[in-house]
Amino acid sequence: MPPTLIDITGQWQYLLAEMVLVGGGIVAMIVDLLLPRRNKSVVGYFSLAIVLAAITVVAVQMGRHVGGYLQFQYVGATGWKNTVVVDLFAQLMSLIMLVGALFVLVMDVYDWRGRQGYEGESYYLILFATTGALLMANSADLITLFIGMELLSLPSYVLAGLHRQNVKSNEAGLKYFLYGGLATAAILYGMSFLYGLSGTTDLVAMPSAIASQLPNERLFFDIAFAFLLLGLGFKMAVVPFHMWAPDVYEGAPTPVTAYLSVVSKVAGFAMATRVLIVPFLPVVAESTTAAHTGLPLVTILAIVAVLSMLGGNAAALRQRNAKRLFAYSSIAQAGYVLVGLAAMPGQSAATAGSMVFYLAVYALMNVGAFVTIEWVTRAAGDESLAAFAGLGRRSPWMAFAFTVCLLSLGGFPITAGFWGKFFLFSFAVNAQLSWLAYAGMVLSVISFVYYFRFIRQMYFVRPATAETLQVDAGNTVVLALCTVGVLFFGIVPNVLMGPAQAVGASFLSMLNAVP
Amino acid sequence: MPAVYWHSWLVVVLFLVLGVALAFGLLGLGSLFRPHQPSAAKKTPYESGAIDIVEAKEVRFNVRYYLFALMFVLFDVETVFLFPWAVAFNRLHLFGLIEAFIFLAMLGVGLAYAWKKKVLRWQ
Amino acid sequence: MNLLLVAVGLPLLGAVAGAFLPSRSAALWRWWGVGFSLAALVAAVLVAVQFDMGQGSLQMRLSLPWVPLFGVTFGVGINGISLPLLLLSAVVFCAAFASFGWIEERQKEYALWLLVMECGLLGLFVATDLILFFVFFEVVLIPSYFLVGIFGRGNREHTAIKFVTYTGVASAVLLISFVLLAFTAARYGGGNLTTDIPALTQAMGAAEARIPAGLQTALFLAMALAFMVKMPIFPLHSWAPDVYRDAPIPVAAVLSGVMSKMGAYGILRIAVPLLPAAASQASWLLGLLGVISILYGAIAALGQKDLRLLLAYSSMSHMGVLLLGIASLNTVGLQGAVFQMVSHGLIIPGLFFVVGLIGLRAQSYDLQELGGLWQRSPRLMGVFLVLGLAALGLPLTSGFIAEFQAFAGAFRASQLQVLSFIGVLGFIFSASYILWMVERTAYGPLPPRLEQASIRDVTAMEWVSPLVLVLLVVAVGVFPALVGTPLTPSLGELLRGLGG
Repeated sequence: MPPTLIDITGQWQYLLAEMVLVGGGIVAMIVDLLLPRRNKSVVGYFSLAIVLAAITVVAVQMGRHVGGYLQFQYVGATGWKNTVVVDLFAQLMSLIMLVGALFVLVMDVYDWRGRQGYEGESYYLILFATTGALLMANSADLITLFIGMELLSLPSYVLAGLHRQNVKSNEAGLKYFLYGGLATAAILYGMSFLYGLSGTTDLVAMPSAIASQLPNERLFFDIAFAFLLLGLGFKMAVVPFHMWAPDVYEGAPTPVTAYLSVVSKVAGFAMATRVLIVPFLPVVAESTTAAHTGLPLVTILAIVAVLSMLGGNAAALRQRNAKRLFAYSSIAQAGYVLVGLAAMPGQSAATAGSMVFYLAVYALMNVGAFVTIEWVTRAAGDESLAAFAGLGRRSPWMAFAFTVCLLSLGGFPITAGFWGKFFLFSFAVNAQLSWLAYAGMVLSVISFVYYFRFIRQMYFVRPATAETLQVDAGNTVVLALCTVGVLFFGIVPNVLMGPAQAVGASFLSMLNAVP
Repeated sequence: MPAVYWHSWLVVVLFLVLGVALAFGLLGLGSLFRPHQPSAAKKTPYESGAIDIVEAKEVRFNVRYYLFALMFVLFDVETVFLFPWAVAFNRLHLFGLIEAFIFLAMLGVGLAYAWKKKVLRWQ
Repeated sequence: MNLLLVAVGLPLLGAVAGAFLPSRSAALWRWWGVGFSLAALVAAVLVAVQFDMGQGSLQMRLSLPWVPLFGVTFGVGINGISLPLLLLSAVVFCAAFASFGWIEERQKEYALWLLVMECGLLGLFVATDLILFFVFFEVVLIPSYFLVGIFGRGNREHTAIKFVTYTGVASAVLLISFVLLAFTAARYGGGNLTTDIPALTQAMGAAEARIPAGLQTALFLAMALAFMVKMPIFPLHSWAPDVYRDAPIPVAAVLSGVMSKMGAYGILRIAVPLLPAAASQASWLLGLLGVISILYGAIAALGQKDLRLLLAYSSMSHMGVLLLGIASLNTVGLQGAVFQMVSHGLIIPGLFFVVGLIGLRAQSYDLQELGGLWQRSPRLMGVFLVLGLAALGLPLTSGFIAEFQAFAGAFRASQLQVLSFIGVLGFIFSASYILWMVERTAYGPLPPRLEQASIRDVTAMEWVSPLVLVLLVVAVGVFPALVGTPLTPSLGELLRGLGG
């Protein structure tokens, strides 16, 4: 019997959501070519339907407890190689990113109204980028992971520069491309070390392969870690790898900024969990023994987290442009999630649940904030904080929704953001990182100052005009969903934390899986 | 790290040293023997024998050259991937055939996009 | 339906339902607030009626799992320490709503935020879970921001954000300390992770010997300092003068009267019972800070010209007495502390109301521009005098029992004897500034500026809030058993945990 190169019969379903997205993206591309210029929003609605279909696929698969590995076998090789893993972590992360993409598309359809340019492209590029984002959460192999990352990055560069008439947008596109390229190179170089050390690109097989190499090669693990942290730090936008973020966030079209700050960031964290934690668990375990000689990896992660929280929050204080302020805000938010990442090695995989919870909540509150920013700044033709003056009187419900999102970003109780921080920092305490939890919580107080600046504008300052803001139905629904979600998970966090809790177990099963 | 690892890097270093040495060595060797008679005409860039009409640094290429080059890469890559497929066709059966056509179709979409966006038209 | 939840839920119901009403009439919002806060007061009184005075443990317990992963429960309950504070909060909020007249615009927002704040404060005093306690602790903060920032005077926006960030840092430290405490108890006690206060008290009691003393002390100090910010206690007080000066009068009354008790209540109800060994270790520090606050507050009050700043520093001085009472860690001292919470919680809002009414008449809070108001407004000045004397600790007012007991307790505690001797000096200063304050406003000639102004005596609606508070001050002073009866068994239980 001739050896098969690849046999994935019966495994298709593990990539079903991605296939829906790619197929839909290609169809959207063809439809876009055939449509006349003024009807491009059809592509937007079609893309919305595609993302909804992908959400349905993931949800149904979760409901049926579908899970497993997509594997193949080289010609003549023995044993199977994993490429894609579908576990609860991947599914929840995929859901977060898909919902984020859905909301961004709704924003995008409005954003193109009254504008000329590459409208159709912006819709299907989001579809392609989201495919890559999903792959980053799903992959069980370095190569798949890298392809997913590139599939996310390349459309993102284009999306950031899509407003060709706007100089800032051009700057954003170019800057993002150059910095992103550098980050990609660093990640690839780090991965090459991992491959060289373990002899495999398979993430499932990697920890045990690494454990056997560990005693002699500690230096090279540190080098690999350093390069991966550098590259992923760019993708997640954490201090000191954040320099691109403010310019790109400010220059990119607002829906794209929302996309970068939500979907890209979540994907970055999904990837970081896969390559920055899983392969290094044996390394960290070795660090606790007396004989270790290498870098304190957990401490390095913790320091990066503190730097992000400090740098992001402190720099945000000085911003007057709403989008730029939110760039720094999301740098600080990434710092909070990094606290969870730093707690992961010491605390085994259970912490992944708290990261999933926080990222889900972060997606809701940040999208809610960006919807408001989009509407207010476009109506005012002004991206400064002053554009929000008197919103509490002009559009009370919108101001209320924005306030809820801001309070949640700041971590005030009865919003979901509070529980997000509570879970992350509690795991840090449990992982013997109490100092990090204290530092994180205290540094997050800085953010009150600038989040409350928006609130001050909305409620304390008299509006320049009395007219109410008219918001279209789609964006109203998105904003309402985000706000209700933030409040709902704030009152009954266990609805989300229950499933997220199980992520840890599913993550562990990946570590223990025998391919 | 096993010594083999460093040995493979040694080859890289060797190549680097040899490459640099070769370039500088040959040029230096040449300068020992060749006559040295500079003139203005010798300093102008060589453009297939035609006399240059503007300064070389001011020459601007039409951006469409790049677009055409990109389109060329499209078909070039296509060939690169189709060749091994054709060689291994007997072992890949129907599955390989479908795969290849999906691949071609995707490239086709790219071509259609370029066509529609008037990349192929020289204006 | 748990009666405690009714009391906490009614103001929230008022706030949420009110958000959907149009904001036309100012009078509507006054009565809306009065109605819901009165309803909450009725519920609180019903709680008191049903309360079993002989029992020291928590009553009317309700505990639902909230976040099982961390053992967080939605738990409420009440004991003899929290019952007086629950009643106090309900009364002070009713008074605040009744004195609605200062608010000239955006009455709807004012009423709704104040209702949210009431929900937070009532909830705080009945919460029996650390995290739920923290949630209510923070819920109070957001309405304060809006109430000070929109309705205050002077540099109100700066004051509001200063308040939020200053106390935000304290809250941050508090939350992580709670979490660390829960994990510590679970790790050393071997039990399940829980943040339920009674369960945690037991777990900590069982594991106490195994937990490193340094960790216990650090945790206790972190919590105590965070709580002291809210009281406020020297040197963590610098937000308070700004807020008490710039907040609208009813809000200043609520913040100084009730919100400041959140901190003291937290120390008494959480920090001390959960970490008794560390508490007795560090009690000298609490006593020291308490005495410094007494003297610093009183001396600083002497130097103030603005009536509201004077009240702010006087409030700090009284908080020092409270902390000294807690630091004594004996029955008398703790009783004094709880009496001081109630007493100060009644006196200082009353004083703020009176000062507000003075300001309304004289268009000034500056002591140098006031005087002779007894001629024009005798009823108001009468209340002012009584409240001032109560703040001094005159017998037959609640202030006397409170301060007497707090100091008596401190004298008995061996480590606080010297400190409390120094602290007593504070009485001299407080007598001076209070008498000076009353003298400068009520007596002497009317300043020429006010001669022409038609200053009328108080109207019925203005009169009711301070008067009710005065009556309660005297009632507690004459019948201390009103507070003492429910308190004694609960304090006994607390002291048993301390091993005393």
